[in-house]
Order: sequence, then C-alpha cells, then structure tokens
Amino acid sequence: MSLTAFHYLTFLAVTVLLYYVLPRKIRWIGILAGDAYFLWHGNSLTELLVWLGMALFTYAISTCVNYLTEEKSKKAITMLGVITLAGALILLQDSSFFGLPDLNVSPMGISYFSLSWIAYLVEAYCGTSPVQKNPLKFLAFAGFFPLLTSGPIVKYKEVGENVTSGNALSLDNVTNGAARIAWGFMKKLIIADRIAIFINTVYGNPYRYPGLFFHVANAFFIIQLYADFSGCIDIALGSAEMLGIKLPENFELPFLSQTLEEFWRKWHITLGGWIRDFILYPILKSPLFQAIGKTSKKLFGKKTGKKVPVWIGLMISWFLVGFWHGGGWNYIFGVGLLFGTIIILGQMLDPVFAWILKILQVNTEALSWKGFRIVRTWFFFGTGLSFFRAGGLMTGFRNLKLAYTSFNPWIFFTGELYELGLDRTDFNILFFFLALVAIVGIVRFRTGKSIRALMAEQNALFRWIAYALLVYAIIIYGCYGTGFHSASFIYQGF
Amino acid sequence: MTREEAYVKLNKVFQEVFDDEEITVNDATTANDIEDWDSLEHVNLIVAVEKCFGIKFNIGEVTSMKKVGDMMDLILAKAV
Repeated sequence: MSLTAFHYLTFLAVTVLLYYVLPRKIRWIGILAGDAYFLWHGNSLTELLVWLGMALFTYAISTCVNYLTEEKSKKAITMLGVITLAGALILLQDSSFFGLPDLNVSPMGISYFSLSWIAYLVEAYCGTSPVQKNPLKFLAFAGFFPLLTSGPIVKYKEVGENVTSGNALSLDNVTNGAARIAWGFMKKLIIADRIAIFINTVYGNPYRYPGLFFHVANAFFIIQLYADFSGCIDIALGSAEMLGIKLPENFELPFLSQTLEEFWRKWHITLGGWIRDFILYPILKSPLFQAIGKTSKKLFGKKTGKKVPVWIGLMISWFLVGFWHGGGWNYIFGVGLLFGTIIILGQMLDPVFAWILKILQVNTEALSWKGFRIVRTWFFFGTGLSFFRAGGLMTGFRNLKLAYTSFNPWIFFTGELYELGLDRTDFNILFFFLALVAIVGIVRFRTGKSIRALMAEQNALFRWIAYALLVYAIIIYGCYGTGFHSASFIYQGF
Repeated sequence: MTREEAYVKLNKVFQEVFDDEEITVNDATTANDIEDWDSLEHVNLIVAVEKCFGIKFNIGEVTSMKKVGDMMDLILAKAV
C-alpha cells in the first residue's frame, strides 16, 4: 500500500479511530491491528512469514539478554542476534552483489526495521534501552506501520514505549499530523512526481540530451529525491503524530549546509546516526584502531596522527552507507566512497585551504562566500547522486562524460527544455511550490520555528483556509493517472 | 573518589584531548560548548577518559551521553 494512495488515508483514518476508541490501556492493540493490516497488504505471504520470523527471533534474543546474568553469554547471544539480522538484510536485499540468486522474499522496509532491531539488541545488551517483555507489544513496535516504507530508523528507547503507552486524544496532534501528511503529499505528488518526468526523459536518452540538459536533469534529481524522500518522511511522521507518537526527524534543512559533512548530518539523519553509533564508534574504539592511532601519531604527529584511524573508519562507514542504498557499485561509489573521499580530502587539505584564504584575504563571513560554499556542497552532492540515478557505475561515468563534453547553453533560450515532458504551466507550478518549500525552510532557519508552529499561532479561520488550499492544490496539481501516475517512493526500494 | 576529585582528573583529560589548557567542564557542559568536540573527536575523548579512570564504556553508553554530567555519573558508577 503506497503512502500516497487513497487506500492509505482510509486505512490511517480507521486505525486512528480504532486507537482512540479503545481504552487507553489497550490502545496499542489498535496500532498492532494497523500494523498487521499494513504488513499483510505490503508483503506476500512468504515475505510476511520472513518478517514475523525475524521479529520473533529479535524478541527471543532480547528476552534472553534481559534474563541472562553472565556477561559472556549475554554478549554471545547479542552477537548471534546482530549477525543474524545483518546477514538476513544483506542476503535478502543484496544477494546479487555476491553473485547469489535473488530470493524475492525480502519483506517491505527490511533496510529500515532491521537496523532499528539491531540497535535495540545492542542497547538491550548495553543496558541503555528498556526491553519489551510483552511479545505482542514488541510486535506493535517492530511493525509500526509509518516506519515501514522509508523509515526513519528509530531506536526502541526513543519510540518503543510511546507506541505502546496509550496516548491521550489531542486535537492538536491529530490536526498537526494531518497537516504534515498533506505537506508530504504536496512534496511527493506536485513536486517529485512532476519533476521526475523531465529527469526520466533525459536519463532515458542521454545521447540525445547531453551537456546542459544533463546538468539541469541532475539538479532536478536533487530536488526530486528531496521532495520524494522528505515527503514520505512527512507522511510517516504525520501519521505517527496523529497517534500521539513522536518520531525522530530525518531532515534538518540540508540545503543550507556549507560543507558535505554538514549536509550529511542534516540529510537522512537517522541513517547517518545509526552508522555513527553502531559502525563508526565501535570500529574506532576497537583495539586495532587504537593501535593504528598510536602508530600514526608517532609517524605524523599528534594532530594529524589521531585523524588517521578516523579517516579509515570513515571510509568503511561510507562504503556501508553506499552498500545500504543497494548492492551496486554505483551506490557504493556515488553515495558512499565519493562523499567519504571528498570529506576526508577536505579535512586533510584544511590547513592548505586556510592558508590560501589568508593569502587571498577572503572574508569567510561574507554572504557571497557562504553562498559559494552552499552551491559547492550541492555540486558535490549532485555529482554523487548522478551515479545513484544512472543505475550503474559505468553508466554514471558515461553520463558525466556526455555532460561535460557538450556545450549547449542555447537550450535555455530555444524552448527545448519545454519539450521534455513538462510544458510552461508545469514549470510554473513546479517553481511556485518549490518556492513555497524554500520559503518555509528559510522561515524555519531564521525563526527556529516550524511552519506548523507558526500556523498554530494564527487565527483558526486563517489556518483552516490555508490547510484547505493545500488539499485543493494537491487534488488539482498532483500528478496522477497516465503519464502522471503516482510513483513509488524512491527510498521505498531499499 | 568524590565528584570534585573526579572533575579535577576529567578536566585534565579534556585539556589534553582538545589541546586547550583553558577548558574546564561541569555537569551541564555539552559538545556545543567546546568547539572541537564533534562526533569524531567524541571517540578520542571517550578512550582518553577510559584510560585515565581505568574503566570501559560500552557502545550504548558512548552514544547515550548527552552532557558531561552523564559521563561523570557513569565514571563514578564504574570507577572503583
């Protein structure tokens, strides 16, 4: 069931109603029922059984960890749980990377829930997360339906108790959640699915559309991916909010970042946080990396030497970020190693850059300098994403070659850009709603308040008119039907 | 070891890791208060604290510390 389908809205309305009709003590059963329906619709019977097997396995491991007292046994059983879940994720999702046949039994959202469950087991072992003893309550958390399409990747200690606690009905939660869902629908149906038509045309025939056609399509792909993924997250977070459950944010104004490092702290935040907490930190704390640090300090001095193990750890982490996106080298290189290399080179050359800036007397506080850094970050991100969209590593390099070996600036004046599936009206609609998203982002940046918090301060009449206009716009300008079909979310495939 | 005694040792660790003899920390200090304390430097700090106090933090504890006070609570609970 797609989150942008009418079916989903009906399902959500029934689930929310059921949740609040039930007595508070057993409201979590409403969520469990919603989860069951969502999982049933999103999976084949085999996939559903695989999901249930993995969930019950995770529950069993966490229960053992909770009851065992001997440290060695706790550690061994936790390792068993983590390796099994990670192995299931890799084998079910990326078997082709290892030359194995695709089993086609991968449950929906496996890339998200398996990481959440691994975090749960590790933190249960560390004693830093509560353990859910009731198997049905655990299943209500494990299958929490808003998380199953594209995350966010949550920790049990942040969300789990809230899923099963039985929240009081709050009109603010319900209306705010609904408004956020509408905002997500707008991003997905008006922006992402519309702009995708242009991108598909260019990427579908790169020899016909080289040079600046490709650069425009690639810049558009950054917008598409953001509108698509953050729109999906808006719907997920809005759905949870209607049930009184607060999920972690996955985006924090990434396009105002001045460095790629900062960008990735604000884009897909929960994946970055998971990789940092459960991959990078354990690697850097390991005796091997401590030994590497000691040796590198001797060789390169304290300041540079202590960074060497961090750089190695970062490259391993970036490899895994790329691999998580799909078992293909275009992901591993484009969304992984390339970003890692740029970030590490930036850190290595930082003293050189600082020296050049000093010589050139560049005012690093000037708006123009900050603007340059922001555009540079978009450029790096866009270059990596072009491999993501290309579908193959060599195709990605070929596309870049076509992009940089053809010079055709006249396409901005001949009207050719309007012949790629979007006419002038489409472009106007696109830019109007993009401007709306940008303004909302800038207001958030300047005031520190979300648009919904600001709307809540307005008169109810104004607020409801604004909401009604948003819904009206989605119905009128959303992309549906032939040519404009509501496509799957991009991150749903991972 | 009292909290005050532990803070004397902890301040030295912070000064050493961040190369700044002016740094003093307290229960309310967070990563936002120290310029170079980012997620990568966090691990160097943790390892230095472990060495100084002869303790080990598990990964759940490493990622759960929100402020220096949390770290100090763990140090006092673990240090003999």
